[in-house]
Amino acid sequence: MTNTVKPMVFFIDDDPLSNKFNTMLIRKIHPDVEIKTFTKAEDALNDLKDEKHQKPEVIFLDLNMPVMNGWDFMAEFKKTGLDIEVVVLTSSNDSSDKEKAGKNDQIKDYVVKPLTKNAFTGVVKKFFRSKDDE
Amino acid sequence: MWNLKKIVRKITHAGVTDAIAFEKQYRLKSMNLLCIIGILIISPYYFIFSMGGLWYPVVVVFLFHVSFFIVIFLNYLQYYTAGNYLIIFGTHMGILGMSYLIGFDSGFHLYFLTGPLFIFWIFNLDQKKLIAYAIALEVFFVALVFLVKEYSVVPYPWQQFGSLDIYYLNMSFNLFLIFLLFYNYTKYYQLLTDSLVQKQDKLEDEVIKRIKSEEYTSKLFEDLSVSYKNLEQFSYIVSHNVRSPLSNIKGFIGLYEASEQHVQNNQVIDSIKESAEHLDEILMDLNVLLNAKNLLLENKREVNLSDAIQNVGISLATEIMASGTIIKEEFERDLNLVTIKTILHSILFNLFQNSIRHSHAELYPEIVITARKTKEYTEIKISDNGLGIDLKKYNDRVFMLYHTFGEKTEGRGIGLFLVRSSVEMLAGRIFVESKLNEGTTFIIQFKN
Repeated sequence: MTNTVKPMVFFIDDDPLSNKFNTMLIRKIHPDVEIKTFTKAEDALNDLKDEKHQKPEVIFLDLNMPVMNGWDFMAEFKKTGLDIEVVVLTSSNDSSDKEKAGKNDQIKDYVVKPLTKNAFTGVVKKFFRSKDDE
Repeated sequence: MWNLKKIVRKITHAGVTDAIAFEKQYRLKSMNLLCIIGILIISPYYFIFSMGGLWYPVVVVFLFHVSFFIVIFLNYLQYYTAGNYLIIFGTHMGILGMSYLIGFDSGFHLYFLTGPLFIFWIFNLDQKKLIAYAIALEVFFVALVFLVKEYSVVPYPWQQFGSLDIYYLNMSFNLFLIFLLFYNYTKYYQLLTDSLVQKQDKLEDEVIKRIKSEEYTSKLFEDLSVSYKNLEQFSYIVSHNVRSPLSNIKGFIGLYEASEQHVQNNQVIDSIKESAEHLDEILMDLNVLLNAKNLLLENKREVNLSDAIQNVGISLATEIMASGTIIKEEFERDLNLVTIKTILHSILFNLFQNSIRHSHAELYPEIVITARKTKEYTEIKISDNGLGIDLKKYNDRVFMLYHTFGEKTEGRGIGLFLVRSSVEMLAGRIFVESKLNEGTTFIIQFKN
């Protein structure tokens, strides 16, 4: 009763610097958001499959990653049946990537790096409001 | 002095221009020549008739002369058809008049033989309509001559001038004309054949030129499509890989707190530095990839595959020694390829390096090269006993830029990308066969 569980976001990006930046940014603007970063999409997937772990509210996903890339992750993620919003966060401003992301129902938004305060707030606003309503 | 040949040449060329067909040029020349011959043939009759005191025929002979000159003049003015008709009409009128004046037994009507000769001399056989008119004219005059002979009174009855028999004289002139005609035609077809042969040669040259230019165009197209592909790759690299560290730098700069001596600032600066280094690295890669395209400017020449492999072995000596790699050549020692040496070297270098880097920790890497030549292509197979790639999963990404597979990879995902673009630069194809944990085989095919 005392403490509500902190909301959580995932960052899946093979570039550690990018993860570091995202963490620093969110710490600054939303200090009470829990952050988990993964440099490998498989690790994120395993974490999501583990029932003991807290599920994130939003997943920020990079597309260009070695071994398992963003699209591979989306395919695997769909199999888990989890209802979590996925936001593509990538350095690619390639129109074909955007198009592909637009066709995927589970991808709610497409953000070109770097993530900004406004972009982040815009993406998570809906989620925060629904949390407040409860 | 008078240059007779030059004058005759000048007269026979009346009305001849380059604008008209060769065949027509030749007919014109013959026709002009015919007029000159006509003038010469008629000339003795001045003498013959005046000797006999026959003055009317002398006037007719004069009219003959005038009409021959007019024909040449008409040709000169390029009224070709008018010239054609005048020569036929004038000749017949003259023959008719002369036959009437001096008596029909003198053999003048033999000149009617000349009419058909004229027709085939001055008209092209294609000008059927004009020939038909000319024949009609001919028939009309022949009929007229016989009618005149039958129903009119001859002013001058047939007489012989000394020993000169006009009948035989006319006969021999006609035979001379027939000879001229045949000579003319033979000469004409000779010229025509020569000109056709020339035209054919020209045409052959033209065809060869066209084929060459087509080859050139297709080569150009090939180059262009390679350039286009490069451009696509370049734009891909820029939009995916160059933007990544750049966006990090942008982001971190936004986190920098200018006013306060924030603890985070040091962290921010370090991260910016790191991103800049990463960016530099990617730009270096880009440089490598773009420079590879310049190798295309080198000339193709015969390269011995075994020698090429030896050279790659020397370049990779350190890595080969450290890993204990065994390289086996299983093909004919004298197998040669016509290719760009540096590009082949780069292909083999990257494939060998790939095999060494993706080997089992507990096994000595082994690279087996087999090669064979068929009619159409040369095939090189490079197999290793390394970690292999799960092709079911990554089939489409093996050759893509910045894609690495497996956990312990040293590479940054440039090698195989470079291999594929190099193979494509040499207009070849590359395939991959692999089983996870068992090894990988790359198959390269170059057209011969």
